[in-house]
Amino acid sequence: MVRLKILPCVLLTTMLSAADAGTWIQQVAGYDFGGDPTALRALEAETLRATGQPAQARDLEKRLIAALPSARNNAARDAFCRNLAIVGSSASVPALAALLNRADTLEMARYALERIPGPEATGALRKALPQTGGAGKAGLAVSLGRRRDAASVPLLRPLLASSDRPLTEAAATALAHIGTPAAREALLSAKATPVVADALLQLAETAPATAAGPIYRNLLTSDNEAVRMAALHGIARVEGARSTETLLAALKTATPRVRAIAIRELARLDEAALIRAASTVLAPARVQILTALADTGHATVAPLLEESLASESVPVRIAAINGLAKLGTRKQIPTLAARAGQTTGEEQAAVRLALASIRGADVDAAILEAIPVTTEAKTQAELIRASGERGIRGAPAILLRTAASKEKPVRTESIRALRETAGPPEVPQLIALLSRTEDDTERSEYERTVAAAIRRSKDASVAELLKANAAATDADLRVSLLAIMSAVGNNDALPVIREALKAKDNDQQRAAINALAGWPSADPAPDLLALAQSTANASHQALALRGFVRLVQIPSSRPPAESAKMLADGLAAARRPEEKKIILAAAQRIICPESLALVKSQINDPAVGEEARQAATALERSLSFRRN
Amino acid sequence: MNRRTFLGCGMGSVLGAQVPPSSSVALGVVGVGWQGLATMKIFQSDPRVRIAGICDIDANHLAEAGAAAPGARTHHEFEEMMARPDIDAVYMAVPDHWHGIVAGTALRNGKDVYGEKPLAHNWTEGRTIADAVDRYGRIWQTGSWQRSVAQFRYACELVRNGRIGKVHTVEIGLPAGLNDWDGLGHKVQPETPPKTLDWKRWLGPAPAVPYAPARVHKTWRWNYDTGGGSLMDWVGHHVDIAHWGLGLDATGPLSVAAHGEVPRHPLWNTPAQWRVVAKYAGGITMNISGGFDDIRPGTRWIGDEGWVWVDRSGAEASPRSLLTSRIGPSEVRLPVSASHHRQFIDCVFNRAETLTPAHVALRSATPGWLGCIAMRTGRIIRWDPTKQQILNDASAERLLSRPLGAPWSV
Repeated sequence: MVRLKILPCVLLTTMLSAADAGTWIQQVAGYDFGGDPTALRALEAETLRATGQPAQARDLEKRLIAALPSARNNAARDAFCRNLAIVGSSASVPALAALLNRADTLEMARYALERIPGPEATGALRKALPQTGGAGKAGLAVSLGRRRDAASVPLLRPLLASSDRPLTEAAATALAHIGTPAAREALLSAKATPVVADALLQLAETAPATAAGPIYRNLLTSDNEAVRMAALHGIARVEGARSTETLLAALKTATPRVRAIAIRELARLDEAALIRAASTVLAPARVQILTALADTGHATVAPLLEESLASESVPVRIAAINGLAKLGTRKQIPTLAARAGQTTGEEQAAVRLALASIRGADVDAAILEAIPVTTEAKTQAELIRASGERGIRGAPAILLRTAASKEKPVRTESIRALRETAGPPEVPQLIALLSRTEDDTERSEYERTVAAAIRRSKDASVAELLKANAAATDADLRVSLLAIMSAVGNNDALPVIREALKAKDNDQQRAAINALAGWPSADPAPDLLALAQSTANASHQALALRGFVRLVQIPSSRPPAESAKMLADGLAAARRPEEKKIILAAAQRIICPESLALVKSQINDPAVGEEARQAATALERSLSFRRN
Repeated sequence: MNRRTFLGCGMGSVLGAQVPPSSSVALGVVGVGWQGLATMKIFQSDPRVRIAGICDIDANHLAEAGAAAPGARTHHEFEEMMARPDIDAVYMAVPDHWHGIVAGTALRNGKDVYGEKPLAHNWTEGRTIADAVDRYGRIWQTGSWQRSVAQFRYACELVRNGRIGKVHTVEIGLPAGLNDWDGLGHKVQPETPPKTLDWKRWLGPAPAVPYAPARVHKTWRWNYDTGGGSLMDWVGHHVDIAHWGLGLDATGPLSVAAHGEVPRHPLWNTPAQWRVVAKYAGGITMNISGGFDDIRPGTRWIGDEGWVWVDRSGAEASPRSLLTSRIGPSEVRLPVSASHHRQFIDCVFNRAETLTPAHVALRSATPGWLGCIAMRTGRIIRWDPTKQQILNDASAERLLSRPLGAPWSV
């Protein structure tokens, strides 16, 4: 990859004197594309700052106007015009107007004039319009439109009939921006192309309802579907309830896309009519109807949603379920829970979301009441899942019982739901359940749940964990407790984990190394480094070193140089190229000279030289930005 | 971190491999370079989506994308593709300076749009897009896909539900600018454009300048004629999330101050490093920094009872116990989406509003546009978030829009 040289920075805060501005202007007069941008940037910076100081702006403007003739090429002329666009006033108009007469300078002059306020700039653009051809004419039309020049309407109107399509588009857009009655009349008289229609639609948005309504009604007969969609939307907006008949007609006879507009508007204006219509349409439209009605938030829609749960169409059922997620009550809980147990895929996901989302404390109560008395295992599992997703406060007491169910899905969902709801009071019972499980998957779930329960308190006390560890005789339980200590990350547990590093049992040792490697802060980093430096066990050495590198990269207030030093210590302990590569990748993210020295020290190592070179290149670039 | 295993609640794979025409979306893709090709492939993984058209003015990009979607018809000009009645929706991944024109054409032709962020090159064109979306009743999804990632939603819900008390400060860390991904940054001298690139059309509404490799693919971001620097490249991600967490989707800052450092480069005039300070109602200060170490990449809300930080690697909080906090159904719940692209397709069918509609994208990008103006003018820009206007600074207001090269209009 070619290295980009970044030259010393030119700060935009540099303040220049008038003498400097003159120098920059002189240099810009000789600028060409690809050249040294120093003068260009300095002049632009000065121009932008001058806009906040009227006297300075006027002075600079005079200098720019005077300098225009001295521009040696169009790159320089373009630069001066760009600056006049920022700081120019009516004083700039004559010089810029002169450039409108040349094909090669028309655009740069127009850019500037479009931005300069005042009737003089508008007048120059308007004068140039009939004298210009080709694309330039379209550009002038657009600029006059942006300036909302009413006097241009007679000049723009004939352009609507041009065979030059970009020109008619520009003229139509301009008339829309101008928006006067004359502009509107010009558009209404023109051939109804999509661009003209779009211009009329824009006009209608700011016109009074009495003027907008007829525009929309006229456009509703367009043979362009997008225009009809917009027209229907507009009719509903300005006519309100009076548009219902039109909307209902569209619901029955229009193309699907126009009908979709009708559905959204009817949901707002005549919900009852839309509810009645739901049974008469095909599935795709019914999906839209259910969605639009659910978005109203009205409870009156709920019966239609419930009825739609029985649809043969999966998308319709999903739309109904999504609606019930917003509008449902405790009444739907049994049906939805059963549905969740019976379905898969997207439908099941929708039902689960609905169970988690239906508002109301009585819904929580309904779920808790149902769990113990539901005999169908899958349904019970879904209710349990919902209790966790909803974070129901009273759930743990029930879930601690269902966690002992003989049905695995019920047990699994119970453990997961406890993860979302249990707190420190439940920790002893959770540990007891953990100690009794013989299933590795469940053990792993319990580890996460116990950690979550402990973390639910501000001090994340590990007292119960340490107590359990002291009493534990089962090796698997000890391993689990170490994992939980790591997930909690309370330093009170570090002495126990350090002891476990010395255990005779290999699983215990590995668990202890993993526990330190997964720590949420870099506090155990020295322990891992010491182990990586000293252990004869290759697998433990690799784990410890990788864990050490991970901890070094945890965000902290440690200065980058210190982190780089830590990585250098890790590099010295590395025994394999893979480990060195991990350290080099980490060093690349710690941007400081010490990291650069570290990676450069490995460039000559054939096993990692390429990685070291890439890291060095990236660090050099990042550091060069810092220096600038 | 709570377990959030909800999937997008759309129609998705329930339709299986056989997707009837009334349940499929014919997608046109315009801009199949770096981002566009990668995202086109994401859309292809949705069985409901058929890539029906591909458009690019770089023949190499077009060929590569055409090979990846052999059933699609290829186009050189987007107008031709947009006029096709068989295309239902469009994915737009063109450089910023084209967003307003391409989006407008798509919307006027009745297409729903998934548009890359930022919404547009400048505020005025962004507003034009949002108005056109409303005018035509179209579905718009912005490529601010972090809203469809569980940890971002959860972090925002923690903040929205007062878990950190009253928020007074937001810190947003963005990447430094002027990344030279392909090592072409030194190629700044005018050259004859390659035959495979329609340079005049590539420029489109941007000022006419000669071709140089450093202006074009990927690094177009680093010149204000065609992009808005790394600030505008990323504002639609982390600032969008900051707004979401504070419920600011319908408002904006009251003032923006900024400072940027622009290394001397012949063609790149956006900053490599910068700081933006945006002040919001309610005493909230948003510090956006690019390329500095003191603010961590991502978004961090700081309240009087703690803080929450989130980025793509995860979330952290103080106190840590906050991350075990449940957001109950009766609290503020943000919409769930497992996939931003699938959610767009869901909404094409059910016509519900997406997670990141155009009017929200306009608000997310506004601190960025105002930040660019503040950097360039050296002044504090005061903003009326209700009227969406710069206050008492006509010169700065000129920079909210730009003239378009002929014959283009929005």
